[in-house]
Amino acid sequence: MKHKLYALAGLAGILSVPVLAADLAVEVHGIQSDDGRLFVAVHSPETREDFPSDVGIVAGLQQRARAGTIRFVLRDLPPGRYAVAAFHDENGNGDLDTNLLGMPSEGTGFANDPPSSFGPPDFESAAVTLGDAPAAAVMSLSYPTTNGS
Amino acid sequence: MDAALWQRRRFLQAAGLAGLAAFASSPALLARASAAERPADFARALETNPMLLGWRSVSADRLDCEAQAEGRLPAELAGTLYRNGPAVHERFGQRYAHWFDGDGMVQAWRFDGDRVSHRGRVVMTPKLAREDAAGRRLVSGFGTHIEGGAPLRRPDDINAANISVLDHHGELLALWEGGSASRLDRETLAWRGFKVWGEGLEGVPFTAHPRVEPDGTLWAFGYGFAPAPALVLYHIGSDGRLRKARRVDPGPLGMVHDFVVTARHLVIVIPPLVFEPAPGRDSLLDALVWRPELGSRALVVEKGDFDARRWYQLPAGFGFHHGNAWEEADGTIRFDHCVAADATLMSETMRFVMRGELRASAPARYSRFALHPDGRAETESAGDEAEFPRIAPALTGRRNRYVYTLGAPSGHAPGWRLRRVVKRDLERDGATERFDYGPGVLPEEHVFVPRPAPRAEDDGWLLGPYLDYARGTSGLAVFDARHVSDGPVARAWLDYPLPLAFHGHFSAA
Repeated sequence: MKHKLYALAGLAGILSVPVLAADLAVEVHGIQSDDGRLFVAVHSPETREDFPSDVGIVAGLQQRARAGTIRFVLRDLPPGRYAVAAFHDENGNGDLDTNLLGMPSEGTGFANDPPSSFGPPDFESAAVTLGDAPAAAVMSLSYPTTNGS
Repeated sequence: MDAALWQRRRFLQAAGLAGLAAFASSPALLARASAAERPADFARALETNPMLLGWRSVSADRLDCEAQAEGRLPAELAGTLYRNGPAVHERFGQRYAHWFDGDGMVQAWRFDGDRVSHRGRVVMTPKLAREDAAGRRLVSGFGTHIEGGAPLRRPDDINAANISVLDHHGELLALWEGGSASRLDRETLAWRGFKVWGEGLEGVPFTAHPRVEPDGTLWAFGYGFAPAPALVLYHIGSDGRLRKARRVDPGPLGMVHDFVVTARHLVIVIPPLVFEPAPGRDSLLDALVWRPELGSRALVVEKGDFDARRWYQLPAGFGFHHGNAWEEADGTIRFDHCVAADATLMSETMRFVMRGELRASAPARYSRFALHPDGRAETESAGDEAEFPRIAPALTGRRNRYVYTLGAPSGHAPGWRLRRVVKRDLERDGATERFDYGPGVLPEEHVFVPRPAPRAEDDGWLLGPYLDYARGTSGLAVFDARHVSDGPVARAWLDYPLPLAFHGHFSAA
């Protein structure tokens, strides 16, 4: 069952790399399996109210998932403040799967792992500042739990 | 309200459980109605009001004992009464601010003819396991806001598995209502995982009050607030397999605890308690706003076609539980509801009892309604105070004569008033037979268990757990359901008191 309701879903296929400046290091922890692909999106502050919808994504990356941690660097972003979100497309269907109510049923994460708030955090709490020097966006994915030990 | 805040709230809603922790990341708001309580305050109140033992945190995560039986245990009574209710009200020096927040303890009362044993296990949900690992409370609940909590992304992150139990197609489930059902080991009662009924249903809420028909067909609903308020309807076969699930737009929605079925329809009463998150409404409870001007609405859905729906308008009221419903030959649907004038039982009494204060609230009354084929809805009667209705399970969705509830003595006794078990005869104008436990005892839901091959609707027993706070211990009474006013035919006493629990399910051996 797939819905486009959840914001990150539209991120597949958006891979624009804009004008030069600094590098953003991204670290995604807590990837639970090697299955499928990892999608990461960098969101522009100009559309902060739309975060984390697919509006205002200025850079992104998708790659094969690998259990544990994936690190990579997005190069040549203009200085600014960006929010970063990720999801693990574990079944490899190119989309963030959601349940009948529209809640993600695959792993999702946001830079800074913002504390208590149901669902996606706001732009600011998932944002990092990229100046002339490199910056890092660090997050852990959160998955729905279905099974006990 | 500025646009950014509103936008954020939409995302919170989109994740399904917004109000619970909606403003957790802006700690500088006003005094919090839902801040955790101090255990010492409750302990002091308990010293002067022993009735509060019913809301004390359970003494251990694992309880086992051979009950002391007295009287005549029916030889044919063989099986297990599974029960569930909030039990871990305090942990890590914090006390929850609402009764509904306590982590669940599933209990198994096993009857084998001449012995009764009791087992209680705190349900080790991912929520509680995560908190135990951290050594502190991490997540907010229905009516409690925990400061500085962990990221919460899904309703099941706060699933306390604390309302009821279902035993269906060999699977034992602990039920919550804001998220998934939990699969349990039948013997050890250990948590095994969240139940996923089918594709796309991971983490979709499942009621604590599913209805099982005599042939094993299971009907259920769930509700969430995301991305718009939604109801979900479930049809599950006697083989435990999902037949269909459907998302339905319910209009203004808050909390919906129970529903009923008839031979042809599902009936869901939606009270005018509406989810409206706003700054300062820290918990889901705080974000539920009483809107009596909307009235209550009843949604009637055809079992065979979840797209065939009609609505009825009812007087404003808030109720937790139904006994049963049936359909007359002319298509009129009749159902009962323990319904109060407002939701203060939940928003006041059940909140303040956690700090040791028993506040009065509008009583739930045993009320009967008719939904006519021409669209008229009628309140046919509104009777005395009643809660926890149960019927003979074989009559689910069919006309029943008897309903068993708890009841209250007349007058305004202070404290928790439900101290009677009442048998109502609907064919004699709701005439009642009752047994009063008297002061010092708080009875819980009494479950009707039919005798094997029953000869009449009331040929069976009522199994009634209770807390004897005067003695400081819990027990269970067994009534011959044909003669409730004679009092219990047997009792089984435990070595320990238990916090008051909610609902049970009897599984015959």
